[in-house]
Amino acid sequence: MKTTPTEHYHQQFTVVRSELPGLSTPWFDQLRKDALNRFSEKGFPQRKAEDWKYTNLSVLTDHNYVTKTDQIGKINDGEINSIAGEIDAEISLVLINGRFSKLLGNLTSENFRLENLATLVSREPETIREYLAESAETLTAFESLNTAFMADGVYLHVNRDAKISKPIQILHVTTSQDDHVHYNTRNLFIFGENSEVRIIERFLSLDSIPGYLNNTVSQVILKDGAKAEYIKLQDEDPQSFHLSVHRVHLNRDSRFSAHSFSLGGLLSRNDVRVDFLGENASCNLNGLFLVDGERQADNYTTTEHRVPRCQSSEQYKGILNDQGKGVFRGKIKVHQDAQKSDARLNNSNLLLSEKAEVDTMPQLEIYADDVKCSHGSGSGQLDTEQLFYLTSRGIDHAVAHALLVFGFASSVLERIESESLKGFFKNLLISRLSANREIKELVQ
Amino acid sequence: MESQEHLDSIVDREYQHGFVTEIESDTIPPGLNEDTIRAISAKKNEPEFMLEWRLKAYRNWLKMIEPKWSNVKYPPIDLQEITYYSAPKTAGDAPKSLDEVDPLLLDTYNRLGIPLEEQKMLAGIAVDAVFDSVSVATTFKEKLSEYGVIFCSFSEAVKNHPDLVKKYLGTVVPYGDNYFAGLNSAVFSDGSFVYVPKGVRCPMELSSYFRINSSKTGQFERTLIIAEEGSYVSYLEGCTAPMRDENQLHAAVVELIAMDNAEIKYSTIQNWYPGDKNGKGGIYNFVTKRGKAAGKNSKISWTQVETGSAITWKYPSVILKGDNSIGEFYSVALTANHQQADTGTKMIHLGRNTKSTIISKGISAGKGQNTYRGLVRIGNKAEGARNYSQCDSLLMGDRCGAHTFPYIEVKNNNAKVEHEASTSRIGEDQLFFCKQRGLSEEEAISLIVNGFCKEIFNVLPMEFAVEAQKLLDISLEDSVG
Amino acid sequence: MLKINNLKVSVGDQQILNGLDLKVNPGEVHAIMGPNGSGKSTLANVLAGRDNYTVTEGSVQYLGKDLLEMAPEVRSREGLFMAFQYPVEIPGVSNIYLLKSALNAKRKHQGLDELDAVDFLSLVKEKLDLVQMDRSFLNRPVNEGFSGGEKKRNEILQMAVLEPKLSILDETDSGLDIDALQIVTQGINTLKSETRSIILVTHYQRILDYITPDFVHVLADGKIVKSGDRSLAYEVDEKGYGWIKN
Repeated sequence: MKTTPTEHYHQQFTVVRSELPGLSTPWFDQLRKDALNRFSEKGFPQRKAEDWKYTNLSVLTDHNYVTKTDQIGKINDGEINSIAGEIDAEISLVLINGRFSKLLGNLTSENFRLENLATLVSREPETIREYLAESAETLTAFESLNTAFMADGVYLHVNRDAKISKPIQILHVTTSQDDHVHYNTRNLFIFGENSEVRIIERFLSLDSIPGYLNNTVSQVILKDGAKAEYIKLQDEDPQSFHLSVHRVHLNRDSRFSAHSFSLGGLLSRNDVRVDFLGENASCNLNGLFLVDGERQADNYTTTEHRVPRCQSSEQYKGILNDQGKGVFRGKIKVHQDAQKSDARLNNSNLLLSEKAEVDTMPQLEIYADDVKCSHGSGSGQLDTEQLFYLTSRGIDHAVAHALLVFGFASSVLERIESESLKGFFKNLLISRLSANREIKELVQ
Repeated sequence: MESQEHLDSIVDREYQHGFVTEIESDTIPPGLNEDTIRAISAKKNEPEFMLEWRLKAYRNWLKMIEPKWSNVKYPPIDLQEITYYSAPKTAGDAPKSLDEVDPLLLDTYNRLGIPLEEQKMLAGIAVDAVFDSVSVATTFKEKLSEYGVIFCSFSEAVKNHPDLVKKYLGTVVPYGDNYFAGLNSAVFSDGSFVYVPKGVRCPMELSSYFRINSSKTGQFERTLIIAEEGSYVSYLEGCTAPMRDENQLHAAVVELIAMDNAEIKYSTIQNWYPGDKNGKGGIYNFVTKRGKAAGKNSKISWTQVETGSAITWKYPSVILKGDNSIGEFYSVALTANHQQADTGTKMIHLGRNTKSTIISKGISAGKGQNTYRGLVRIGNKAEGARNYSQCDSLLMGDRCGAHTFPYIEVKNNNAKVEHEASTSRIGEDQLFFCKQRGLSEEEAISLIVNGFCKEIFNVLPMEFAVEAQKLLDISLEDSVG
Repeated sequence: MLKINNLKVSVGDQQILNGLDLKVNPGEVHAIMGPNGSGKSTLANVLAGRDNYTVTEGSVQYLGKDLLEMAPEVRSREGLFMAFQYPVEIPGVSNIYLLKSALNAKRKHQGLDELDAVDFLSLVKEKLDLVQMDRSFLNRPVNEGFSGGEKKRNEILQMAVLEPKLSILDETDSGLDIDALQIVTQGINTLKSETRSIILVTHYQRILDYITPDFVHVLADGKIVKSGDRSLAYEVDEKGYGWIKN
């Protein structure tokens, strides 16, 4: 008989526990055990569960994933350096197959502390205790598995008043390993009072690797007056799985701007949960997903306005080709005391083929009256009037098509504050369009 | 804040239709089992097929569980405590003419503003009056039959038009559809039946007035409307109930079928007793309404003004099966005091070039919770389908809630789907502006609320638009004085 | 330049053009006037190659070739330009992308090299002055948030950059105030030459005060019912379209 997921992950835990960081720290070890027990209690979500109704979970849960503890996998150092070099970064932290590999760049800044999580857990676990304890209430079974099996990740603490102009890069690279390996990384981003920082986190695969799962959880804390721009790029192998959870805590006067690009993966899912904890904070959530083949991208966001006078604005766009599928749910919840909240959300999707599918759920849950809340959603194909206008000016049909697709996506690009990162993503996006050579020359 | 108090007083309104009619009833004892169902069927002298269908529905229902996914909260309902059949005694055998109807009943409907005497009727509106479990009077029957239109109580239809009932009953809402529809299928007592033959434009508005009178009684009516090829009918229902401390269950089913080029316009003014200001009593209005736009170029349009009930939980829906068919949903839902509403629609686009429009206006006041929940599904064969949805919420006071949960599923790239939602409140500046122009605060609020609902009132049949507007006004004004 | 022979066009089940004949020689300016619904815009759109119009009979020769066989982009590259009555807004696609790709497509078609960035910009700058548009227009998305007048000026800017042989101006004067009309017509006049032809589609004769036509045709029920010189436009203006029909 096939082992049940619960049996499997308990067995796995017994096998790999001693190889995971924090064994000698009782509370940390307990944290893992508690998470594993929560996983056993809840199990994987059922297809009927509201949060998974549009996602075929079985492709994820039919496999029993294993944790690799022995080796990092073979890597080509030059290749890694050149990938990291695509971004003009203050510093880059590289993880390979879910484990810390190296730091590149300015290693001696007084403005921040950047370390890999495994090292920190073994040396000074108390530094992160309060943050990890906080996440005991989990969102999903996958988040529980992440806590139980987290092997490494990033700890970034930006000092009060520090202003870091160049982006800090976190590079997750997966190289060939066995089938059905899962990588559980955990990030902690703490941005001190009035600090200003920009992060780019990239997930890439170096070779074609069958069915691995990247399961990542990040906690993001903006202290009073902190400003952070965070960009995530998921550009993994088209056979891989990617699950990510971001829990964002925004304190008074802080400003968080996030951009998520989902380009790869057979099935990818982003859960972003934003909590407004202090007044006058603001948050921009933007996202773009591109699916083709039989790939699927899910984006779930929850914005909790818990205190007065906060502002949130959200825009997600999807471009769907072939039999690609996209799911978007954006939930805005305004609590009773959160008067003067201003919350806006928009999701638009472009269906470029007959068999593409998109399911979208913009949601408002409002318990305060003096608020401005709205959401909008639109799905359809390219506008034939626009196509005619462009072709009537002599532009090739294929180029006009690509130009309009690029135009559709560009509003998400435009919201990136950093000019250099905007340029990077513009080129990346163009490289994925069908008439990319013609477009590239045009939009430079 | 002054205007906050004002809003509170406004929503703390009195219910206009809360009186009880003292009339002797023929009642089956409370409880739900196969015997209850057999008893209902026997009381109504139903043919065998009807009893069989009820029993099948009941046996299937026993396997179902009560759904919990809505945004409404209520204590468990004890279905064994409910009386499933209650009829005014004098109405035992259906009256042949209005002269035979108990004067007490006529008086009841008069007090509700629904005169059943044909000569007093508003010109051109036929009424079917349902009192507790049975239909007590249907007006203008003969005139309608000249056009071949059948408009009668469901019981009569079962007796006189069994083939039609057999052919269409449960084809849009099957008894296994959901828990409350399943319950209704087993125990439904009466309701309205409409059949409009091919090519006939029904010469007058048809309407049903539903009244729950007896205590501890559930009302389970069932309405079936069939519009044959090229026909048109406009139908309106109104609902009221006495003020009682207990919660009463109303679980109705409405099925609409429109053939090629046919149009059905279905309007509801729902004013069941909403409970008192502390949330005691009131009707649980758990209703399944669905139309099938079966034919080419057919059209089904739902309009609802929901001001009553402690809890409203319903989604009048359209299955857009015929090519070029059209579905519409226009709704105003007002929740005040402790009222809760979870309402919306489902537009299921199956045919090519199908179009749907959804306009929903939610008004929340007091501790009212108002939820729009809707599904727009574009199937993979629905080439050229279009949907436009707009959900607006108006919040009055800081203890209420307004929620919007649309689900949009698009499986055809040649479709266009747009959804918009917004939330607002009556602004201090709006009120001040109106007052500066000489309006009292209550007039100003009424003006603003009516303006907010205008798009919906505009699509109601004229007489009912006036009635709906008055109903909102009364709901608001009454409490101000 | 252009020879339209017995052109019959329908949209859906409805026939709009009922056997229209028109001949335009190089350097000529033709005004096509007519009441609403007479088929003016249909003619313009059929010539530009819009979908949804079915040609049921007749032919259109453009520079000796069968125009109706050409895709819209090919017509454009062959030097046919339509200024739209309602230019569409294209969010996310800036004016400069549009101009660059349109011009390069045409040059490629003609076997010319693409312009380098410097030459392209200096060309565009010159044309911007012609329609009195600011450089910032170039980076704005095509027509998005433009006023009615700005949209029409943008059409003429594109026309100026592409230097078409045959321009079809569909109600270019509609919705313009007197200042904007002057700018737009000045731009058009600058582009007039002995080798270029213009078809002006218009409801009112007002625009003809600024661009002098060589011929005026009145369209009714999908046919040209009267042709004449400039004076015909004045007559129409004075007496209305009913006069011709009767």
